[in-house]
Formats: sequence, C-alpha cells, structure tokens
Amino acid sequence: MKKTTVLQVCVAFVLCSPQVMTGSPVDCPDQDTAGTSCSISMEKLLERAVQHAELIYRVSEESKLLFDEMLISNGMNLHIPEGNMCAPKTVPVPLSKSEIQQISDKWILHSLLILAQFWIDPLAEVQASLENYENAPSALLTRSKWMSTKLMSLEQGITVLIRQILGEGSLTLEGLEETSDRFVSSNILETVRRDYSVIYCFRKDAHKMQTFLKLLKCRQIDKENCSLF
Amino acid sequence: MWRDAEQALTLMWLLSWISHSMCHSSPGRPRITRCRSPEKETFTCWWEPGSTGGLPTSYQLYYRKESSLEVFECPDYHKAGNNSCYFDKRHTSIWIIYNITVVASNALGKAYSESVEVDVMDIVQPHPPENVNVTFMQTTNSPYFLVQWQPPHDADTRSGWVTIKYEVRLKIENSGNEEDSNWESYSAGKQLEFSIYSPQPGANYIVQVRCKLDQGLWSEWSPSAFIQIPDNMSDTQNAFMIIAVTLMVIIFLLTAGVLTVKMKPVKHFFLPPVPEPKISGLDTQLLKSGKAEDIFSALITPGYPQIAQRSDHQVEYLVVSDYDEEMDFNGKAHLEFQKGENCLTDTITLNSSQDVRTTLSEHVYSGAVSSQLSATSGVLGEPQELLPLDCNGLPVKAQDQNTQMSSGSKCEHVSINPAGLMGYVEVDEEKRDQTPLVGEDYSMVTDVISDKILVLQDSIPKQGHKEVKCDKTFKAEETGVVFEPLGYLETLTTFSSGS
Repeated sequence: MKKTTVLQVCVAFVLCSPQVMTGSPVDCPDQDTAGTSCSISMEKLLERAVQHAELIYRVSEESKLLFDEMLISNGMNLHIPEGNMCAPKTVPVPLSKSEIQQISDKWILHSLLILAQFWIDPLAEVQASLENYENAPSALLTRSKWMSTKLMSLEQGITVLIRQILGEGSLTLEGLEETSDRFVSSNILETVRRDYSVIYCFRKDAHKMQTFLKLLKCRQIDKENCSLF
Repeated sequence: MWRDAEQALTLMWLLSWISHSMCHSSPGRPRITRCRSPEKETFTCWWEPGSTGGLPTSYQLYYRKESSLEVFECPDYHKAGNNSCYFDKRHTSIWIIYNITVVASNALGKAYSESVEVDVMDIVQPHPPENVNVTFMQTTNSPYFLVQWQPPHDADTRSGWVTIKYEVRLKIENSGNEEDSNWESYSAGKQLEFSIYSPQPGANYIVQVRCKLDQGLWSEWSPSAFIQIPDNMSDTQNAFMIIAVTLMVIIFLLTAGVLTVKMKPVKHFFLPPVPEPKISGLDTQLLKSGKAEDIFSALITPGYPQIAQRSDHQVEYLVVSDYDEEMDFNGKAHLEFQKGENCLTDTITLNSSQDVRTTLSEHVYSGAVSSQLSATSGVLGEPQELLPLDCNGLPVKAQDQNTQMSSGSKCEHVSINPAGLMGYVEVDEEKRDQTPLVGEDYSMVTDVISDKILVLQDSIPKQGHKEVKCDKTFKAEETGVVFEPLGYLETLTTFSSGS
C-alpha cells in the first residue's frame, strides 16, 4: 500500500512538475562537434565570399555601362577621371607574380576589409544622388542600390573571415572616414562627374576584391597547388 | 483489502485533482518547428507552443550570433503570423550562424525551447511560382498545351544572386476511377514556360509548378491550373485521314487499271520508240520465215521503180546488148531499127579508140544520138552519126574492128534516141578501173539493179524509157511500160568478139 502510494505520488509529481530545463547540447548544423556555439565552416564562408565578390563585380560593370549609355544619350562625354576617387594609396596593388606570392593572408584580409569599408559610403551617396537625376534608367538605380546592400554584406563576411582565420576582433579603420565629406554641389556637371567616377573606380576595386578573395580561397582550401597567379 | 483498494482509489483521485489544480504552472516548453529563408536575404522561424499551464503565456525569441554572447530579440513577431519571427534584410547575414531560442513565460515561470542553430543558406526554400496558367494550342497536326508561370516575386534571379530551377507536374483528373492516376513530373530548367505535347483528347488535366533556389529545398506546389482538352480534335483528324487515304487508294487503282489496259500507248507517250529503218514493201516477218523470192517480190513490184503510166511520152530507150544474146525490145522505138536477124542497128558508133569512155554527158546535152555500141575493142567516144546500115548490119564505113555487130545475133539492136538526155555507161569488164560514169560523177547512180544495170539519175526529167532486158532467154516482151523520168541505163559487159 505504501508502495503504491509512493508510486502514485511520484506519478502525480511527474505529471505536474514543471519541466526542468536541461542544458541540451547545441546541435551544429553541419558540424559534428557539439560545442556551445557553432560557426560556419571556413570553406563555406570563403565560397560565399567569392560568390559575393563576383556578383558585385558583375553588377558594377553593368552599372558602368548603363551610366555610359545615359551620358551618351544626354550628350555628355566624360573622360576617365584623374584618380581622385580611384584611391590607389589605400591599397597598393601587387604587380608581379613574386610579389603576389609574398603577400600573406593577413595582408589580403586587411586589404579586403579596407576596400569594402571604403566604398560603402560613396556608393550610398551615389545611389541617393542618382535618384535625383531626371532620366536615369531604373536599371541603374536598382543596381546601385543592390551594390551598396551587397557590399555591406560582404564587409560583414570579411569581418567574419578575419575573425576565423586571424582570430582578431573586428577592425575599424581610422583616418579614412573624414575624407569622404558629403559632396554637395549645385553644379550638375560636377555631380555627374563625381557619380561617374565613383562607379568607375568602384568597378576597379570590385575586381580587386574578387581577385583577392579567390586567391585567399585558393590558398586556404587548396594549399599545395595554388597556381592561380 | 477492500479498504486498501478504496484508499488507493481515493488517493489517486486526490492526487490527480491536485495535479490538475496544481498545473497552473509555468508553461511547457515551446518547440521551434522550422525556419525558412525564401530568397537568401531574409528568414523566418516558427515555433509551436508547449502547454500553456493554464495561464496566459507570452513567447519571445532570442538569438545569438555565433560565438558572441550578446543576445538579441526577434525584430518582427507579426509579419509572418502567429508564433513566428521574421528577420529582415538588415538582420540577416549569411556569414554567421544564428543560435535561436524561444522562451515561453507566464506568471508562474518560463520555459525555454531547445536552441536551434540556423545557417541562412541552408534553410532556403522559395515561395511557389506565381500566375500559373495553361493554354491549349491547336496549331497544326501536333497539338500541345503550354504552361506558363512567373517566378516568386521576392526571388532575385536577375542579378544572379540565386539561380532558380522549376519543375512541372500534371495528371489527368479521373473522377470515377478507383485508383488515382499518378503525377508526371517534368524538369523545366530556368524557363518560364513549358510545352506538353500529345495530350489526351477529352481529358481533364491538372498542372502544378514548383521551384528551387540553388541547392535549397523545393518550394510548395503552386495552386493547380486546370485545362480541358477538346474532344473533337481526333475525330476531325481521323476523318480527314480516312478520306485522304481512301482517295489515294482509288486514284492508285485507277492509275493501275489505266496502265494495264493501255500499256502500249502510255508507254509510247512517255517513252517514244526509236524509229527503225524500214523499207517499204519489205516485210520483216517474211525475212524470218519466208523465202527469198517472196521477200524481194515485194520490192520488185511491177511498180518498181516507180513507173508511172505515161502513155503520152514517147518511150525512147536505148538498147545495148550483147551480141550473143537476144534482146528484148518493145515500145516505141524512136529509132531506126531494122528487123532482121542479122541486122544491126545503126547505133553503131564507130570509133577506133580502144578506151571505154563515158559518153553520157555529151549525149545528154547534145541531144544527139546517144546510142552507142561498144565494140569489143572500145567505146566510141564521140557521137557518131548514124550510119546507114545494111542488112548485115555493117555500116558502110564501119570498120570491122570497131563494130560490134554480131551477125548471128538475133537481137535487134535498137537505138534509142531520147531527147538526148539519156546516157549510159558501158563497163568493159576488162577495164573496170575506169570510171564509167557520166562526167566522172558516180553520184548520179541511184540504184543498181543487177550486175548489169545501173540506174542513173539525170537532173532533167526525161521521157520515160523502157527497161530493156537482154538475156539469152529473151522471149517476153514488156510492153508499154513507161519509166519515170529516170535515167536508165543498161550496162553491158561486152564480150570480146570471140565470145
């Protein structure tokens, strides 16, 4: 009798008692290690980053072509701007194969981050400025918006990569933000010139970013025979 | 024992009542059912609540970004419906893994769900394609129906951010069948339309489309589109086919019949026969079966060679004969001829030449006496006047050696003087090499009858003359046969006087 009573009480408690929160181990989506936190594998990250950079570069090319058409249809003829917005000083470009082989992953990642962070604001400004144009093609507008969005995403990705590969915290650049003052000009021609130079130079840097990421991916994943360059 | 059972029951009832009344408690554990990202730029998570514990319970979703300890709360609870959390673009990152937990809380406590790790790229499942419509195309003899759709409105396929693939499935709606017909699936790639050929006439089709982004999950099937295939399609086609085939068969039979009946004319029409050489009067059948005489009798008709009855013409003809032979003569002889056994015609030309010469041309144009006799020793080349002959046939001045008179001949030598247009040729068998023809022109010969007779043709039509035959068995007379204006000559082989 007592046994049954004990049993019933136990059953009752089991029915009624609140669930004890059990610290169940976290199940990582694609990793076997059941750690407290998971992260996406580096291969996947690099792959996604490369895909990002390729897309951004392609869209930047299309944007430049659209801008050219718009200028031609409006009768303007802008020459290649003399590199005030194309900033070579921020990221020196390796020129030869030996130079490329000498640069480290750290350098690549830092360069990538610098480039990405540099271009976020100019692109946003251009996108705002294009909306004020009279007859800018809508394709150009959507593309510029897309580019600024995806560039921000890529910057996040590079940050994550740095954290994973280099183990550092997030970096912030100093000394570059103040140069990009709001460029306000009442002169339409100046505005157009500036917008065009942004798009033109960003296209070059997008190609740089794509190349760096491909090199990085090649080095990280396929270490031995990385004869990409 | 009875008391024990009763006690047990009471206790049990008490305890259960207690448990019920006591489970106004902290809520049960919610459970995150699924998280989905429709376009790789945002995502949503849904959970199902556990037991409420009898009290009003609220749910919060918290998430952490990868290994950082900072905890964020869901940015939007309402957009995706009840018990859901919507992460917009700003809060969605494809670079990090989200650690998501749902907390149910009520007055009595909290309950934490199991944490879920979410990688946005792994939970991609798009919305189904939109505006699926089906149209039936009955263009030619191969009818088909065309399925068209639009991509889900939030998928960014233009920039290449996602690559989309579609799949179409259809089945025939069978209202009365026991077994369900199966779906037929077709992969449609990236296109926005799809054609299905050879539909069943009279059938009711149900069509659905779904899509997939990159390597993600397939979307739900779109709402069904229906189409009814018209029924008369095959009937009209069959009728046409039957009529056409029947017509073809009839035409074929007619053509075959016509051909068999009229083989030859049709064949001649299409393949005209090559004309064969034919000799009128010569029957090729006789060649195979008949005898020689029959064959050539047709050739040697009484009308050969094209004798026309011209009684008004004076028949003049020249007879030159072999002395040993008796000659046949008749017709009007425009000659002096002397009958007699041993008469000689006056057609003796005297010449002392030994040559055989053609004299036809001279006679033709001169119109003079053309009669000539060739002596055994030669032919007289010049026209000679007719010499009077005596009965012996010897001309007065004739030289014996030149004359060609056989006194013993029974032939009557008749000289024929046509209007001077006739010529003849004698061929001395001794001297065959010389051209015995008129003006050295062998083209005048039109026919050769026997080895003694050459038929020459003059340009000037002349009076008919008669054929003269001279053979030893001369008996018959040919009367009144008038020749066509065709020069006729009789050549004789002359014999030496000794023969």
